[in-house]
Amino acid sequence: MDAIVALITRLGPEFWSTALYVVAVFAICAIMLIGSALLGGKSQARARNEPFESGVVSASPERLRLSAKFYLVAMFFVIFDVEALFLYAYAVSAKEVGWMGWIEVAVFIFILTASLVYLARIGALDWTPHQKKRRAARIAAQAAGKSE
Amino acid sequence: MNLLFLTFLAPLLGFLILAFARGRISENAAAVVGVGSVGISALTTAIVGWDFLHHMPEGGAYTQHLWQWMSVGQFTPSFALRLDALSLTMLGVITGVGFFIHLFASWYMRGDEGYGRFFSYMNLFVASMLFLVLGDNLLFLYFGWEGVGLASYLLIGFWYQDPANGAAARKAFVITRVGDTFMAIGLFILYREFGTLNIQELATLAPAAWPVVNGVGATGATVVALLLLGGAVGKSAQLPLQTWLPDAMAGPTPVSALIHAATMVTAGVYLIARTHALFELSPFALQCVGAIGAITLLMAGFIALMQTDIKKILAYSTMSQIGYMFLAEGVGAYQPAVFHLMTHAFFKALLFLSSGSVILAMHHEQDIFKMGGLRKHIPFVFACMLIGTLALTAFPFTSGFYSKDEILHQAYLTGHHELWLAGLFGAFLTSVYSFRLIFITFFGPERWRSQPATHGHDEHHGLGPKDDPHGAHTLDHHIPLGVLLLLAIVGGFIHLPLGSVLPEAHIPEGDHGPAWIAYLPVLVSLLGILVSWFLFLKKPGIPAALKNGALTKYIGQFWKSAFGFDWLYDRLFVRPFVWAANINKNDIVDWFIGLIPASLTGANGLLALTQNGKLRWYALVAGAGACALLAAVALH
Amino acid sequence: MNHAMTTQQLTALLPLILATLTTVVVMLTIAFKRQHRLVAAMTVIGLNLALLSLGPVLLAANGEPIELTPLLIVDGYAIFYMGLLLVTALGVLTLCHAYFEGYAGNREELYLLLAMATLGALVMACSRHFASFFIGLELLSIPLYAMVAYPVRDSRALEGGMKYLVLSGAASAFMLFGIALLYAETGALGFAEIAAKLSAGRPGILLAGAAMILSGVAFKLSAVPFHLWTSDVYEAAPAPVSAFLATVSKAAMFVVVYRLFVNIGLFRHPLALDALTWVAVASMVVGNLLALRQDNVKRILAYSSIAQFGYLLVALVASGGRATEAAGIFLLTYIVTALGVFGVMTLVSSPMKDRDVEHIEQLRGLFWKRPYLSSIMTTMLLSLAGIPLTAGFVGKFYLISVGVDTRQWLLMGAVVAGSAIGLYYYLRVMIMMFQPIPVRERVSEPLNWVQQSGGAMLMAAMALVLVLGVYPEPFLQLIRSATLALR
Repeated sequence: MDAIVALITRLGPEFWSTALYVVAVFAICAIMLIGSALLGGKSQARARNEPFESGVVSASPERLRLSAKFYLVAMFFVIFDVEALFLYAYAVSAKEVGWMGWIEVAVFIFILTASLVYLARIGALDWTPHQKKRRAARIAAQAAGKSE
Repeated sequence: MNLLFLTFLAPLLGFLILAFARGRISENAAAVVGVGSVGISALTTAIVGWDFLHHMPEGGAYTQHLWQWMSVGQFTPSFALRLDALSLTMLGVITGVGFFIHLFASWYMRGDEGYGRFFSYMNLFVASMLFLVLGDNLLFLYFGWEGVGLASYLLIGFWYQDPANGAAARKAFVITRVGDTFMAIGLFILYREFGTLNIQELATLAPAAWPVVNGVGATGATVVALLLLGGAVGKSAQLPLQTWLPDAMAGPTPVSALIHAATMVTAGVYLIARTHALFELSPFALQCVGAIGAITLLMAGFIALMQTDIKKILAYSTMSQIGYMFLAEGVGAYQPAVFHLMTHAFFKALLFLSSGSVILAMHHEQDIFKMGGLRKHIPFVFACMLIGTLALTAFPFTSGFYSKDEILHQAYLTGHHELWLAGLFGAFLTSVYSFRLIFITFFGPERWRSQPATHGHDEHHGLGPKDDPHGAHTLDHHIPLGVLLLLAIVGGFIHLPLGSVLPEAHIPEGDHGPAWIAYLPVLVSLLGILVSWFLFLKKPGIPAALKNGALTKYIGQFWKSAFGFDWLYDRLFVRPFVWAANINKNDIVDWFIGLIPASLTGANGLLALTQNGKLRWYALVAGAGACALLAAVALH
Repeated sequence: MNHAMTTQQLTALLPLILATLTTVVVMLTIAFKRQHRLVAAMTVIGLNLALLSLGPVLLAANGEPIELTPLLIVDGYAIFYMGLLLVTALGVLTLCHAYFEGYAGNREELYLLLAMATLGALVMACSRHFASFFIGLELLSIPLYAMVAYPVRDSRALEGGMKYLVLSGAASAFMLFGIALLYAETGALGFAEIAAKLSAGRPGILLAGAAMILSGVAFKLSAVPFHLWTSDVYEAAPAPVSAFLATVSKAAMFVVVYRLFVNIGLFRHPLALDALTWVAVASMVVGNLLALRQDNVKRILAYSSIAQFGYLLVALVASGGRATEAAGIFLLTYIVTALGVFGVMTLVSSPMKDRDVEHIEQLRGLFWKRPYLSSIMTTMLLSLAGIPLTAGFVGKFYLISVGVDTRQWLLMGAVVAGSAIGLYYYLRVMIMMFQPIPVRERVSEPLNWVQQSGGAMLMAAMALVLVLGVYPEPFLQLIRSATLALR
């Protein structure tokens, strides 16, 4: 008995409060699942075995196709965000690197801007269908102008 | 002299143009390119030659470094042209005589469907021949050597629709290849021994390594010289590799004139003269050269006596004259040999071109016993033929007289009396067979009138009894013949500064021999003409009777078939080979060789399995490879 | 960190600056005026300016290597290979122009990608530090994924691009791991610094690092057993992109690896050389064997390039001394020849139809329809087979002479055996082109002007192959003068 008390005191209150919390989480989940299984009514039907969410039967296949736009946004974010990090590095050492560093950063920012312009011009940043349509119209007009 | 490279560049370009424009350009354009390129070459030779003779470079030779191919460590083959008196002589013969033959050919070949093709081959030949002559290095000499062999093959089989021509071309190619193989082995040995194929370097290195002791050459020198002689014998149609030359007459006549009389067949003579430093190291090899020359000249002379085809007579006569050149080289008389090479080129080209003219006048008839009395119909050609024949028989004051006399003279003076005797008898034979040709063709009855027209109305072959031979009257026919006619007469007065390249024969000081030595050849020749006149014009019954005699008939046939060399070689080499090939029809050896491709395709099949297109497999293999490398490190 | 650049250093940086500028300008051009010919012209002008700027660089260097930051070095070696890579990229560009003229989608971005990849290759040629090596490599590789998959509607091209992406990523990971191991032991990333601190490290870990780096390198050079992707990707990619993969991409990798080998003695450890020898032998044998009965010409060429780089590894095994020369001449001859072969395949296939011409049967009787192209192809195949008087012979001859000098008998045996096998499939393609076809099909196809610019490039390549075969000496001198600096 002394050994157990010694163990309890040695691990301290932080350990025991966390352990209690973990146990409580599992216990609540178990009570909810087991309780509903014991208390709830049971009925078997084909429609009842299908997964549903908020009363809507899911119809899409398991491989969900997301619009490429989502990936684009993610990628743009990563690219521009990461590259902005370089500016932090510069900001920290701006005085030490002097004009040479300034020129290099200016070149860096210029290239970054140029690519942003490029992205904007090719329509990678046109999100809404409305803009898309306008752009398509412009391209069609250009094509018509070329063929004249 | 900087223009030297132009001499072979022009024909080479001509060849390329004609080869690529095949059939798309007109006959005239092809003639302009084909003849013009050799013309440029000849002109350049004239300029370079004039320059050379008036500003003789130091050491008697001018070397033009074109470029170095590559330099890998010690191996630095370079392209360089070397001009000395010897190569200048050859250059003059090839481009000069070559130009006139090309000009003649532009007349002769007119209307042939392969006109452009013909000139492309001819230009290829001239370019290769010049490469052979100008190379300062045995490797490039060999390169040109093979090039002329190829051109010769293409031109002999020029009218390839007739299988016989193809067979003749193959025969020439295969037999000369036998010689070339010997030569190649010789070159290998030289390179192995001395590490160079440069002729000048060899000439200084070889005598030091292989000294002549008590008149006996070192084994190495003898072997190399004999191997080189093998190449020379093949190219120059000497015994025992002579059988291809008569068959080579299947090619168009200008080809026979240029390649199989004036230039290519003398390449063997050139080779020996060029590498004389090696031959001098082996007295035995030199004796062989002389003996081969003597035997060949006699044998060819005899055979020529029995031939009925005008071109074959000339072919055997060529063989015999080259025999003289070999004989001269065998006794160390290189300068007369090269001199004879040049005069021979003049008069033999003249003879061949004239015979071509005769053949065309007779509508492609080559049998002299279907001709006769032609001197009235084609007098100019007759004159050419007569002068050529006189030069051939070394009639006084023609070109052949000076060169052949010199050869015989030096053969006697150097103490080679048996060779001298052979040469003397050969001169007699030469007179007999060559005047037989003249008497039968240009004198006597017009035999084609008395014979039934065997070929009916086929106007491309032979004349009918009512037809008259008709000569040509155009300039492109007359000019070449006229110029060569002139050269055949005065060619003997050309002085060649060969002394700077070739040594003098070993003649004891002040020894000029008995006085009759100089006159005897002339007398013998005249006697030959007389005999020929008696046998073939005065009493034609005698040869005819011999021909039909019981025993002489067979001897005659044997004789006419060139002493059965073809028959012998057929029995000796061809049939055993065919027999062996027949035995081995299932090809045991091939079965073993077949194992290699079978195992390769098997390995291919196994490896192909690895290419299954599956990404995971590819990644796995790459990973396994990396693991293997790491494992190697770990086990290390 | 304060690097005040001297004029000399700035000049040395010119090719890289100009190539970078080219990508930006081309990108902006596309943004404002999307026109195929214009964009192609801009790229050509930009890369040509970069090429011309090598002249001032040569003057500025004056035979001495110029160090640019710890990352880059511009020595004779770098200048020569930058020139070679730029010329090759320009050659590929003319092919791209001919090929993509008939492509329905956006054609312009290809030039942007090509310019970027070329920039990566240039960086690799000058790199003397693992950081710049890796940046250059990725700058070269990432645009290549997109280039392989450029015809996005073609599922095969997409598949090829995906394969290349995944496997190349794996290879990069190997390499990074190897670099990390070297860094862990020596605490340096510069080639020269690593070489100086080798003795401090534990040999086992250093060798493991070298092995990992070699794995990544072997993947890029498609050496056995890292070769499996090659044929799939070459087949899937548009023909000019395959040309880029076979020439610029591989050559750039070889250039930097050769510098690595000469600089760091670790890679010349007997174990590393043994491993490399076996990789080379396997490449020669397996590459040639795989091509033996292949019917797809693009795959044949892929296998052939595996074998050719197997030959080139001989120079790597022998590295130093005359091997530098041998590697230079072999790379030069190989690049010219490969450009020619892929160029012919491009022009035969273009303007782009549904699929490239690639089955050997499609070449049947090509000579009667396109005599010039088939003549070029024949010359190039002869050169690949190493027939004398073509460029390939000179290159191979050099390699063999180096191999014999350094007594690499195993490698020499493999070279000979490989060449013998190689002759079979090269001749097979050749024979197919000269097969007779019915006379009514023997119509010469017209060459429009787009193809003519590619055609002119091919003619130049053929002329170069012949000149290299007949008179290689000036090129050899050029290569000899391109000395490698040990810094």
